[in-house]
Amino acid sequence: MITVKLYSSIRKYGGKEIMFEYRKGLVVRDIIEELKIPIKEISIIILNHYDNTTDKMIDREVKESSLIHLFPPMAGG
Amino acid sequence: MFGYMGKLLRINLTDSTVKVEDLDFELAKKYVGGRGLGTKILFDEIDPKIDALSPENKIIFINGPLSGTPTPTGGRYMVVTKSPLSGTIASSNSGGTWGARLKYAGYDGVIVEGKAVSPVYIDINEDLVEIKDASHLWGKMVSETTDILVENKKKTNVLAIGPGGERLSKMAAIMNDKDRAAGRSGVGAVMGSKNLKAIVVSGNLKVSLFDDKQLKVTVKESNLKIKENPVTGEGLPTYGTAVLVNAINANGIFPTNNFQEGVFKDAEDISGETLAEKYLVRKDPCHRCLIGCGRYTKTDKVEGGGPEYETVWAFGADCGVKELDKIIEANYWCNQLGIDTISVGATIAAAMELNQVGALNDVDFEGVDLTFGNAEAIVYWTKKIGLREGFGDKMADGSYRLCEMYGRPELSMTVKKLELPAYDPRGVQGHGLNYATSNRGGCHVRGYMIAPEIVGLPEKLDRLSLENKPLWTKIFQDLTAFIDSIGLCLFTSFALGADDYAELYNGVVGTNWTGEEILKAGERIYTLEKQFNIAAGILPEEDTLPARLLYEPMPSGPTKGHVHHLDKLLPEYYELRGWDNKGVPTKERLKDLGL
Repeated sequence: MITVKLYSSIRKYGGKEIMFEYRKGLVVRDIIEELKIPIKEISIIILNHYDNTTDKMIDREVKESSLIHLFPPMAGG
Repeated sequence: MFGYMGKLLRINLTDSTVKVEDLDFELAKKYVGGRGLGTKILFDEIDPKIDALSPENKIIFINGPLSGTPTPTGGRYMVVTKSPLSGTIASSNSGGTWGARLKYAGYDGVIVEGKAVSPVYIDINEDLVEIKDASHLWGKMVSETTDILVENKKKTNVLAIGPGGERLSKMAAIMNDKDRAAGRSGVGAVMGSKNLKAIVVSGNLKVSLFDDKQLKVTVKESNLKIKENPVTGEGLPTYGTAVLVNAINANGIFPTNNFQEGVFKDAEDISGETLAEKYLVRKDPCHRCLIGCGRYTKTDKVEGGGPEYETVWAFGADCGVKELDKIIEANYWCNQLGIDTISVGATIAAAMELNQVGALNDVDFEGVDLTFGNAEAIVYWTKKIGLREGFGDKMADGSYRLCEMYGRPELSMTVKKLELPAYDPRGVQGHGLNYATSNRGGCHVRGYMIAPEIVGLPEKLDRLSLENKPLWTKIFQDLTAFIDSIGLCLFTSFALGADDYAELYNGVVGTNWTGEEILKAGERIYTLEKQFNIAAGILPEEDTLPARLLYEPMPSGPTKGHVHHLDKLLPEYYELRGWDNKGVPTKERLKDLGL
């Protein structure tokens, strides 16, 4: 199973955490689309501890036990 | 020259004199205002080697030209003095309304000198400026002091210290409008050392603008950018700065148990999301701010302003505490006592590690053990620090002096004796470089490299890569120095760029600066601060990080195995700044910057 964690405003699309069934060839985009999360609302994707912007991460293939964090644009400090 | 009121107040507490001086417009143009102009005045008037808590130190409360104007977030001021905590230049920034009110009272800044024989406060009501007895206020908390001084007066704002500043805690803050803080570098202790409890400001004057009509258009455009930007228009208003907790934790750079780890397993419990769900009463914006990241929160014990991301981290993950209501309580007491939430939380965390390694075996913990995860301890010992009671007295001068006192200075997570904020540099290389080279010591808001390295603003950089990080860090530091000098909030920079600031500045002041000239002004200010530090005796080897972050790989999580590579970044950074290999500005660069 793949663990998908959602944060702040993206939680309206499925709460804090969703378990997603793995299948071969799955990329991050498939998961986001199947969860019906508008891609434009996502800014940073962390996949198995590697982080980058949506456009750089969206077509990465996931593994059977991948952990994905999805964040909207945010900053603070 | 527009934007400035053209007047500075000089108040000598030793001989109780008040003078009004004309602002030197040429100097103002060169050093902009706020942080820049304040540093120039301080450097010209004091010997940087003096004891920061002696009457020879001066403390300057100074606006920028955009403070009190219709520009977005135009209400901030800067406190510039020599820091008793770090011995460096201290420039501590605050929001609320006090800074703008000083402008409405007719002044660009107030220079306070000397030392009063007994507690006093300064009452500024436009042309009427008086030094008044404050013996009835000494010992009182910040909110009670503020209520007494405001009475029922309209268009009046108060800046004050609490017991922390009175008792000369080197972590003491200056509070304005009750819960806004010029928090860092121990500036509250400088007020305390002068027997100055508060400054009350009343006024209703207008700031003159160069091109009112054009400025309206520029401000409207800037406001629109801020509103439409998802960070300043949605993330910060909805969740406050603590929206960052989960993102920093997910990257494995959320310092936990005094930087022993980079992942806090209970981060969700102390996140901005949980804060909004359980304790948020309302947003609490500063003057002329349309972002409104400020929080007003309530628990069954306390209510008030905050907490911020940094505070949630310092009392939370850094102390291993997951009880958000106790963190809010500790924040409340920091605001009341007038002590800095970052330094206090981080010092308690350092004490917890000292205790963990057995260095505090002889200490009387009064039944409230300083152990990681003890939520009662963060509230109890915060009060004790602010009041300098029991072991709190030992902690009140910050983590470096505490750890040194108990023979373990390496456990102090500080740079130049200022406690590091909420990001472990082992996983953000540019941000670590900023910590090491920040002119006031371990500070995140001199050059907030988290923006590009974590959240992707203005573009995403690989957080672990060293490539171009010196250049990015320098640009962020220089732009920040300019924003801090004009009187706007740094958070506007999530939506605005150097050219936007140039337009706002030109519209108010009447200059014709470009984004490039703004960065040069910022570099001039940054280099001047460095010169102050060198003259103060800060050594080249102090441009560094705690050994743990340079030599001990992160033990687990997404940053596992990484250390900070300062040795690879610092030479390039110095070269870009035109400083020699010891970090001393070269004659050529000083000439180029007009210094």
